[in-house]
Amino acid sequence: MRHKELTVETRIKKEGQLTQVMHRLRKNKLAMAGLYIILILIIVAILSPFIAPYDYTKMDMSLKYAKPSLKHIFGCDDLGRDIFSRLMYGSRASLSLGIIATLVSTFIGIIIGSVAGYYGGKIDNVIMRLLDVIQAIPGMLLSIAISAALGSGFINTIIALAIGGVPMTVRLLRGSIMTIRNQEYIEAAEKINATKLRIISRHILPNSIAPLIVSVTMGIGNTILMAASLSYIGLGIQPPTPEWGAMLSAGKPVIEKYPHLCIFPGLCIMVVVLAFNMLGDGLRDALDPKLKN
Amino acid sequence: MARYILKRLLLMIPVMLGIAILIFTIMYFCPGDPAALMLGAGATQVEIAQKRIELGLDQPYFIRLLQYLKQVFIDLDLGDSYFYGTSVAAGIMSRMRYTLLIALSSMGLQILIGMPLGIVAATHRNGLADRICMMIALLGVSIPGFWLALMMVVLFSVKLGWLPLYGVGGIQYFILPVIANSFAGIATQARQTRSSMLEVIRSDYVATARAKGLSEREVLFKHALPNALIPIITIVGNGMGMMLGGAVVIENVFSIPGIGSYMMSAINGRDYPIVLSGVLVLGVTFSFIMLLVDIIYAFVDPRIKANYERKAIRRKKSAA
Amino acid sequence: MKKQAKKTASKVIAVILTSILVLMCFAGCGDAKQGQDSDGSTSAPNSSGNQPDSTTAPSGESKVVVGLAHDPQNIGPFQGMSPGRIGILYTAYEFLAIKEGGEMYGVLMKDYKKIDDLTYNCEIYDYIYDQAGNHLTAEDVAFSYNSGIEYGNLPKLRSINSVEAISEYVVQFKFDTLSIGDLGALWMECPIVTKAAFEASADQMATDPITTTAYKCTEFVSGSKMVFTKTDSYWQTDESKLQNTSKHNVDVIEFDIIPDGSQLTNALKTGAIDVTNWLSDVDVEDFMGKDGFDVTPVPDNLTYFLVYNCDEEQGAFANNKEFRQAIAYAIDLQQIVDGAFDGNGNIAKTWGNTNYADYVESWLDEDYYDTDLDKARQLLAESGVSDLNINLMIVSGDVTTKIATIMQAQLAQIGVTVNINPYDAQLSNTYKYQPEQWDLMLDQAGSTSYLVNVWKLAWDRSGYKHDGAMNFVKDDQLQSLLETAMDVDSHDDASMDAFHQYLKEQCYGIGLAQSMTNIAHTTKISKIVVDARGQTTPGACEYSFK
Repeated sequence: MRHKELTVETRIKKEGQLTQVMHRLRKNKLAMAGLYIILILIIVAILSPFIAPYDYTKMDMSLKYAKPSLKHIFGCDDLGRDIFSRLMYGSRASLSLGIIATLVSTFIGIIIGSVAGYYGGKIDNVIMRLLDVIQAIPGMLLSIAISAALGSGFINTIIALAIGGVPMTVRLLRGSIMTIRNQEYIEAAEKINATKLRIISRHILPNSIAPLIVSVTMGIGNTILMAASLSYIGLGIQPPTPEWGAMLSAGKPVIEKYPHLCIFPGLCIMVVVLAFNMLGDGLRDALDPKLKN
Repeated sequence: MARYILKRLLLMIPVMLGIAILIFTIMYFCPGDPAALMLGAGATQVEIAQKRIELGLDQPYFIRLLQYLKQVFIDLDLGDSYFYGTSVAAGIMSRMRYTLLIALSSMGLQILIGMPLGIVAATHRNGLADRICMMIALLGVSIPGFWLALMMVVLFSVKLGWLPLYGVGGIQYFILPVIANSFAGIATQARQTRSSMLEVIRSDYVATARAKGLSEREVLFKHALPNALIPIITIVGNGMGMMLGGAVVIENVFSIPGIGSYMMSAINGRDYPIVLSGVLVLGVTFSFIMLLVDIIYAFVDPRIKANYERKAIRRKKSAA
Repeated sequence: MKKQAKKTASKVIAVILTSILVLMCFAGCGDAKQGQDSDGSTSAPNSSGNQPDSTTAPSGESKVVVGLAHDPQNIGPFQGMSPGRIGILYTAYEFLAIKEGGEMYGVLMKDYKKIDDLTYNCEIYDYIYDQAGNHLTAEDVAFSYNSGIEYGNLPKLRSINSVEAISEYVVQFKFDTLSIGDLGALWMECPIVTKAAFEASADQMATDPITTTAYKCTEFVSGSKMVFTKTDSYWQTDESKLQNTSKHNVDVIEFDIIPDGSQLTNALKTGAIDVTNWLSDVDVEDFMGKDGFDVTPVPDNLTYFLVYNCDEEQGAFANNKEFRQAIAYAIDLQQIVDGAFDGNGNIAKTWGNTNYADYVESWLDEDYYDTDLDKARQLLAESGVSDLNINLMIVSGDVTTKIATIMQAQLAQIGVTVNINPYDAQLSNTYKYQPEQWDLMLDQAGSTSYLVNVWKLAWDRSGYKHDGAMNFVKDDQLQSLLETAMDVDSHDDASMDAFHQYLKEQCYGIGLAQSMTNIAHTTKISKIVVDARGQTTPGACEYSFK
């Protein structure tokens, strides 16, 4: 019974918090710009089959390496395919890879990290040693090894990219929780017999979320770039499905001669990273409980 | 503290075991039979079966795992490469030098440039300096490493002829790789520093310090920075781990025979001894660094240190 | 407490920075030590830098720097062939014989005698010495071959029954089977070293081989570079008996490993290297006929192939000639040459290319599944296939991915959906023999002797343990036509054409295209000399030193 009451109460409070956060976020122009860019990109990703000017698989050898022109505003790639259309389609794979893999690893990381950071002691020790095992294997090598074991494909690529990111999140979260844990308000919460779950979710997480959001927003960009490295060695997403990272590495051999093959996918990745970062910064400020008033 | 360090060192043994088991298992499930790979096209089934026996690949998972663990942890032998017949330990040693050199220099650069950038950005929040620092940081995370590396090569090696294009040798060979390798790290460091500093600057004790009438500089370096260090150190430790794995792309561009390319080709070639032992050696190195990070945590944050000491006292009491 | 925090913080930062500096010094010291160890006669460390005068070593010796795109990793004698290894092969080792323009010439071998169909006696020169001064005898040749067989990395040696020294300078080879071109192939397959030198080596010559060539490996930086320096005691003093691969026109040969394509181009541009076999097709125009540079195009002896899985149980193409031909008609080979090789290549007209002496000229004018989409669609309809999802296995890489992507788009035009499955070279080498792993396979092969040996590699059922050809098909007529063409007595245009026509008609696999190796070099090299694999042999090239 007590548990039920608690969740209802929590939800009401949460809604209140959420509107507050949104209100503060809306005031932040940069963050809103980031949010809009992300939304636009997601819409483009969904609508790409209808709005792309050309078929992303259509080759025309006479247009090989064609420089940007009115017909092909971003030029054509090494097989004479329209880069603009490919980028539009590519947003599907790249965005979903980056976002899903980062969210999966962050979600797992939050659970493990808050448990380890809050409880400390033996539980912390066991969890951290297990994570040490994963983290001690360099991320890129781990991803390559997992990809080699699982094979290519969307889900497998997400798993390969996500696992390596978990210990990073855990350490980050645990580090800041360890500083917060001993602060007065947590002690106070403990004194009034708040449940551990409540202490973690209501007091500890919100107070240690700031570095986490920064790392998530950066993680998405990093993950997109890492997916590029994977596809470069034959793992990851396969052609004809365009993917920004793969397009970027495909343009690498001609980077000096036909830089537009690299510049446009690179710019796309940059814009996404930028947008997530601006949003992240805004969210951090909006979520900061110390700025409530 | 010494007791804590000793304990951590002892705890490293199960971690090593864990790493060995994990990577062994992943490689076990990798498709591709090293015996068939070694013998190449047209080998008969009998030949492959013989090779499998020779390599001990015919044994079941647990037997192989135990044999491997015994070889590494009891015989202290990292084994020989399947394909090259050469000692894995020697291979790792010869390549570790370059990886270590690049990783440590990159880390130094990351701290020396990234942290000040972050501090400046935090103290001039939303000002021009903040915007400039964060733009640099943003460029850092979003520019692909190989692109930056190649552009620097074109400018400094091809056009200006100041620095060598590729290869290993004197200090001049490592300037471009280190810059290219640390660029993303500098950016991450700057952002994380800014974020932690902002967090701390707003906190009560900094406000108190200000209220006491301390100068802004004193507030910053005596009160804010020490308290913002924990997440910053975490980033340093993590980055170190990433760099130890070798910046495969940077190694590739500059033809540096580091550990990254060594491990990559071993994974692709299913050269199990190299993969298993290589990961293990990297793991040990990384665990030492993380231990260092945790010790630094304790130094930086007296509350954590006090926690350890309190525990130690409690333990002593209960022992008595 | 806060004061303490501040103090410890600054201390910690100081400690971190000092330890980084110390560790850097430590890493740096390791570096310096290495330099001292291998100081010997090797060149200054900045020789691979961007100094344009890299052809002259400090001591005034002539020097050539060769850019390799792949790392040979281990230069021991009995390792398997790899793209990195073929580049250094003849600088590092000598063989019983070599081939040039289809003809066999003895290197260590003075002469040979046929005893019977499967027994040959090979006589070597009696004055061969290796770089350590060991006298090389028939025993050493037998040792090398037996080691080669034992290591198992040299597949051609499998047809050898026994190798035995029957006198001090005569080795007797007994073979299990021997078809056309095999003898030469076998005698140029296994590097010869002395038993004494091999056994004295701590690492099976992986980094420091002692061989019979005129060049001794004097510096080996794993994954980075190898330096070979001319010895003054090369055994073959009779110029008239000196084969191309054993010539030594330059004092120092340095091989630099540069895996990145753009960097290879930059290295040549700045004169850091003098020659490379690995210039990417798009960069050819930067050097072709440009001041101080030249490009020597050499047709690759490798051809890209498309293979249809015809396994009775697993093969999507088993017993369905129409389906196979539909695919063949849908593929535009010229588009592959233009797209994947930037036009630097030739479309295939048979299972192989024109590099071989036994290629039949008339094939060049024949129709070889010239693109015809209507016909492809019609054949596809006739085939009655309902599942048009096809798995194409490739070895991961830039060029293979491009070829696959082009074929994927072409096949999409007739409604066939291709899923590309890239694997690394080793893994695809395993999956090749597993019918459940692929429907179509992109493969690449060549030979150093005859076209029929390229055919043999793919279609000779006796070479496979599954008793089918490479595509698992068990076609007796194909096998008998191949055996006729392979036989020393019946190997002629007629038997070659018969097999070609049958394979083409059955369409078990088709040739796609042959790429060009663009050997780009500075004009310090006045003439490029290549070996049977199309690799530059730096010792044999002609130089114009100032």
